[in-house]
Amino acid sequence: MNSLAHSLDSSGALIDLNHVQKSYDGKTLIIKDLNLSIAQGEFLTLLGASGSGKTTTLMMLAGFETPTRGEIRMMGKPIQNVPAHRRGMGMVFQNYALFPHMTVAENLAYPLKMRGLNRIEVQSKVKRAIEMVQLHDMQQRRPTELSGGQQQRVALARAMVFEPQVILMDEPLGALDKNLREHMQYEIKQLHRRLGVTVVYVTHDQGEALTMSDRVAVFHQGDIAQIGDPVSLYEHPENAYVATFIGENNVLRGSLVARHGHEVEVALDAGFEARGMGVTMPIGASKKVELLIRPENIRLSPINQNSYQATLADRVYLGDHLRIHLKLDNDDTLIVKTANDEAIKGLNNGQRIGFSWRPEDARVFAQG
Amino acid sequence: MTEARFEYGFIKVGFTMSVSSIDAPACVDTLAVAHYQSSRRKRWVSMLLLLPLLAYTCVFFALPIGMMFYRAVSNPELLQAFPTAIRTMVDEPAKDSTALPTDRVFDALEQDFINAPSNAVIGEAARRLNYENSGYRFLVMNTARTYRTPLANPESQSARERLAAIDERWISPQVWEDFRRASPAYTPYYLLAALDLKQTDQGVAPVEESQRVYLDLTFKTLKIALIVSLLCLLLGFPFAALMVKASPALQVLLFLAVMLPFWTSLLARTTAWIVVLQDKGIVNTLLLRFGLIDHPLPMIFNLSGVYIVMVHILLPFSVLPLYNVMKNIPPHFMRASASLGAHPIRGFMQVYLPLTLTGIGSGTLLTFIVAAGYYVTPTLVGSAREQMLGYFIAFYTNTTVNWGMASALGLVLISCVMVIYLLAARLVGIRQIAGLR
Repeated sequence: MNSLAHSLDSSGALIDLNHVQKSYDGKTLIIKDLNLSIAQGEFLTLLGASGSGKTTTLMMLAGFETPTRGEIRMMGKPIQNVPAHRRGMGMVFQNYALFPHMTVAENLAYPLKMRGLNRIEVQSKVKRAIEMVQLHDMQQRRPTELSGGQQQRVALARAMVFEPQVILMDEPLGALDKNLREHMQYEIKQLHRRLGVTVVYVTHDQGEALTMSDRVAVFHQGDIAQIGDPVSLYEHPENAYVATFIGENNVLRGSLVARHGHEVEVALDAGFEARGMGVTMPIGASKKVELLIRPENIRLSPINQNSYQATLADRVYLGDHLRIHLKLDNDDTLIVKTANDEAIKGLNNGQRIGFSWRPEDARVFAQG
Repeated sequence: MTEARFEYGFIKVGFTMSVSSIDAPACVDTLAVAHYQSSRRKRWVSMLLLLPLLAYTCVFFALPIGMMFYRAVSNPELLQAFPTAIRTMVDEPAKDSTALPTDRVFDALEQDFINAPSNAVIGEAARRLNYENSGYRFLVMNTARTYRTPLANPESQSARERLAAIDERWISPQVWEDFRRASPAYTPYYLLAALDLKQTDQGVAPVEESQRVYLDLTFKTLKIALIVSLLCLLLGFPFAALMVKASPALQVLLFLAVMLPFWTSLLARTTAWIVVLQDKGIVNTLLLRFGLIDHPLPMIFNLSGVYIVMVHILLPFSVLPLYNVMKNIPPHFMRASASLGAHPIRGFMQVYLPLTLTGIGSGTLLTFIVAAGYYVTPTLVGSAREQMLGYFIAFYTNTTVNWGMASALGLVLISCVMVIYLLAARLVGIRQIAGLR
């Protein structure tokens, strides 16, 4: 990584996207106004639902799409007009895109040959890459003779073998089953740590985003809804979209009653007043807000003066925990995630039950 | 038990297996038998479904081809006309090839002429004998005619003298040598002739230079087929690639364009080409008008006309297999190639082209095979010099009714195509050519 010193320019960012817009038809913007800095060596995940613009962003980074407006800089130099094959970024595709007419070794040698390396260099680098992903016996196999996980490893090795500064990954684990996916998440993370390479990773799987990333950019309708490290995204979402998109959240509608610093009091439509942390406040005369509380932050209790009340509607047994469905007085459902203990087992459906939460666990947003 | 097994064995295979398996201790066998029995009904149904096609193929494809093989070597004409003469000749062979046959052969020949079942049989024999040397037709027909009227000099001593009186050639050793060669029930004559070879006393030898036509004809046929299939590939490859990338509406349009020749009557299509390409046709008129040429370019009723029209008609055979293969190449392969640092041209050469090889192979082969058998189009838009094997097969079948020669040329055509098919199967793989992979 001789370019490490290179890239530490004034901004400290390896790649900058400035006011990038993208439209495919000249009418609607897929990317509205994207500003994003990617630091050297970080693992950045672009997370979002399909159509949110995350893949388009990745394709613009790779050079397969050009921005309609705005610029993309790499180490300070604009690259939006540099063709894909001269950007020097490694890429792992959703379906691996391993060349079926070449062996594993030939697939790995391909980018090296394109760079005009001599045979000895090619051989030694291919050998190292194969060792890196532990596929010693598979060198002479065709991709179709490999399992999904092995193909995935070859695709990773191929994207890394020419030592690119940046590796782009487009939902690389989407085709794998759950166990293998978790294993590969770990392997990719290990490789990232070991090689210090910059990774831009696209996924719609929030679990994947949270476990692997240094930073996550949550895409929503062509904008970044929030960007930050996994903990702040999960625990301090800046808007209701991020709060509900990442993890699970109960959304309770109501109106603002009073503010005490960061803490606010909300009269919920369900018929009780509750407290939470105000994040965005209603503008003007409107007092409409949403209070979001995660299922694992609600505590069940006997009915007392500190608790709210609801009817126990249903219980779903999930082994290590239970999901309780509470019916509020306006017929809204509140999901509670609770440990599987004796006290809960004694309850019956239809019974009234008390619950509460700490105000700092609930987040209040202006209704949008 | 053994007996019962035997008895049923001829009737029903399934039953044989089930009885014999009772002796077998291994439970694997019982499982195999149970599987066999349980799927028997399904097997019968699938066989029944296959039966009509199988029968059709046998009767209308395998049988005619087999008959063609037979016709290429079968040689019944002389045997039918002169059965006793030929039998006697085999029983009493001449001392050497230059000697005349014995008197008994002449007697038998005379009897054959007198007892000839019909004029047609003699005519067939005359035609067959005429292939050996032109002039023999007159010899045979004249002799037959003479024997139908009262003999001119019945006082002559022997059949040999009577025959010699009709035509001197009956006592020429050359005639009898040719007669002997033309008489067996099976002959390599047609096959050799199709390869410009003939039987002589010394064995197989090439025919006189002036009569060598079929080898040249075969090479010309293969050359035209090869050039047509290469032109189809050259035009079809970018077209198929465009079809894959085009929007659905454009795709339909392109598809119609390539299928159009299939949906037009052969004559209408060919006439249209004549209108377009003739000396005073659209193309020449335009070129003259713009001063690009001084004289009309001869574009039809010559080789270029054959190429233009055949390429037009055969393009779908190249385009469709190519399209089929290209459609299944995911676009991310070329993206992957670019992301790995390959210039689009190198990516095309190293990734895209190799993946289309099966389409190139099967499309070109299909075009080649169809082109090699073409007959109507070259007849209509070519001159006499552009006629292909197919034309001569039709000529021998329809005009001269020489089934032996038509079949032999057909065999040459089939063999050439088979050799090329096997070469291609060896190079590209038979499953790829069949489009199974």
